[in-house]
Amino acid sequence: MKNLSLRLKMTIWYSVSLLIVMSLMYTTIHFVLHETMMKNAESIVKAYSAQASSYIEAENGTVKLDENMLETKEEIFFNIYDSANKAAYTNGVPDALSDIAPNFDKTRVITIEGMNWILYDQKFEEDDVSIGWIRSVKSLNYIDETLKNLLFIFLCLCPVFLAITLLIGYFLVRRTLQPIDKITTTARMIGRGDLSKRLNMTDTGDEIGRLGATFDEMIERLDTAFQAEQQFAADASHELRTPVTVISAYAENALSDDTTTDEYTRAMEIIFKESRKMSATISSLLMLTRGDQHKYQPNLEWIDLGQLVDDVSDEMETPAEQKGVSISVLPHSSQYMMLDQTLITNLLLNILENAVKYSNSGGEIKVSLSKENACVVLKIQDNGIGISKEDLPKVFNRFFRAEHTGEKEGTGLGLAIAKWIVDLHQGEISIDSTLSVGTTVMVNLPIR
Amino acid sequence: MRVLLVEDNGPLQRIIEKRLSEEGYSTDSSSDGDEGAGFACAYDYDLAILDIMLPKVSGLEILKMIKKRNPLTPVLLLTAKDSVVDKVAGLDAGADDYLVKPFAFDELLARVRALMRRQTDVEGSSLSIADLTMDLLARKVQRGSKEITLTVKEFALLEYMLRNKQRILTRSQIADHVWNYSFDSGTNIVDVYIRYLRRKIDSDESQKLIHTIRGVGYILKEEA
Repeated sequence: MKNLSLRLKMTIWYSVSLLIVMSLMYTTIHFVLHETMMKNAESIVKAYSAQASSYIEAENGTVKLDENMLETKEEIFFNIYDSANKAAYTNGVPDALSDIAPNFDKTRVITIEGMNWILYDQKFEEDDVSIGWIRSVKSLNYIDETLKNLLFIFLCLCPVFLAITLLIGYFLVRRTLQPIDKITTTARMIGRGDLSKRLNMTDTGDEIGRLGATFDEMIERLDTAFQAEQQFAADASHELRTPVTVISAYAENALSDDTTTDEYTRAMEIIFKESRKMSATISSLLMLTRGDQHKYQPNLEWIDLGQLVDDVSDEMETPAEQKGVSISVLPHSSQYMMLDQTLITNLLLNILENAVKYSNSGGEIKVSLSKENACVVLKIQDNGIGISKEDLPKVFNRFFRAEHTGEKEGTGLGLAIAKWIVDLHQGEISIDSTLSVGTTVMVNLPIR
Repeated sequence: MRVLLVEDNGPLQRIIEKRLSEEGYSTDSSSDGDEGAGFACAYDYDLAILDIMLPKVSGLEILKMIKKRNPLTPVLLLTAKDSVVDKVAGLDAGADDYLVKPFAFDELLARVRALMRRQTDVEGSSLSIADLTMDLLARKVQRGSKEITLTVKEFALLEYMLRNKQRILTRSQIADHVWNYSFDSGTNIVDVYIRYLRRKIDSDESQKLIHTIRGVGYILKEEA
């Protein structure tokens, strides 16, 4: 039973239950039919007996029979006995039944030579004196015949019904289970590494439909994660290869014989700049990798976030001014909480550097800090170039840079690191932005 | 102060790293000799703590690399065996001190402090400039009679500057000695930390101690 397919198992269960139900039905019908027919036979015999007694008269101690009684209906046979129990008249009653002692006013079933008979004895009385009695007999053969027929019909029809239901059941089960076979096949394919496969089952709204939909969602997430991983590896090697290419090109050029001092200096400047860029990318990658492996142990200290916000904003004022951008910190109170000072400084620098980078000349950056319930909310709002709707969900992705930003400096990892830092502090970071209107970065940090 | 730690026992490595970072040392730690050697060649460490038995490249090999790069870098060897041969080999190769496992962390930290002291010709356990004093053992800083509370990193930055007072320190020097490899020296985190420190030690004082050398870095000095 264990190794049978679900389809076969269900079919077998199905047939066994059907067989039980049909047998129960047969038994019930058999019993009810038998009872009804027996009752019917009893009432016929009794009625005949009663009718017969009205045709009989006693004359001088002998029983006189009316001729009409000879017309027996309903295949009823009878014997008439006188008061000395001697048969005065017989009409078709088998001898074996004539000799049985009387038992008045009770129907009895007697079996003779395999045949069932119903027997009924009734006394005749005139002026309270017994003058004899009548025994009415009816064969019950027809009941046995009927019940035999019923059994025959049942035995004939049962296999036919069973076969039909089995066939229908088998196909129904197959139809129901077909999607599961499909799921198995697809899962096998996905197991071999093809994550692009989907079940794409029509939404039937039933259990199987829901299973299919859930399965597809799961594969979708896996696929996205896998693709992101591959994309990350590809992006990382690209980000590192580009500065290496620039460095080797300039170094090769500088090494040629006819290089002037000016060209040397220029080449060295570019090599220096590119190597700094590489170093920044590598540091950021290492930081994120350590974060991914949960190797980073934050150094939490009781620090005033308000002070950090003020200091970092002050620090960013010079580069902002050079771009014609102003930074204003709205008045706020001290917010002491457990923070990793280096990481939070990094976070603030990251967000503010982005705000300055993507602001136009004359732009304004507003920094606010407030306490809401058990959280400190930091808001950094600019009126710079903004982020398009399509790009907004991707800004926290590693190496993501929006297309319209052009050649801006940066590793493309800043916001990914910002998100990691906020996550490490069990906070939340979100970005709200409208293209060419501005961007608002919101950081929620729980006070612990 | 930037410390290189190469120890192949994972839990031991993590706990030493944690203790060192609590003391304000920025630590680059590695569990195999190969990676450790890579670190040793890339940075000028203020101190190295090396296990002798390491996979791929032995602690003694790394020790030689460090001493070749800078003979003054103090190296503390960790050895599992209390064997004279090992100690002699280590000390002959240029190690400044050794510690036999198992050891108490307090002893490890004390030896680290002692080695640092030897390197910077500082006597005792305190550093000072003008009326600013730093007690390395109690981890306390005072300006005049006023006690100053510093975070771990602010303390580490001030300690590094005190050990190198009267000397111009570039941003990348500071970044390399106060933070570990996962912090990019290209960002202006150094400038922000100098700002944090200035607010705490210089803002209310007439005599400023931290000075900016435009385009180069910072210097901690008493103005004549």
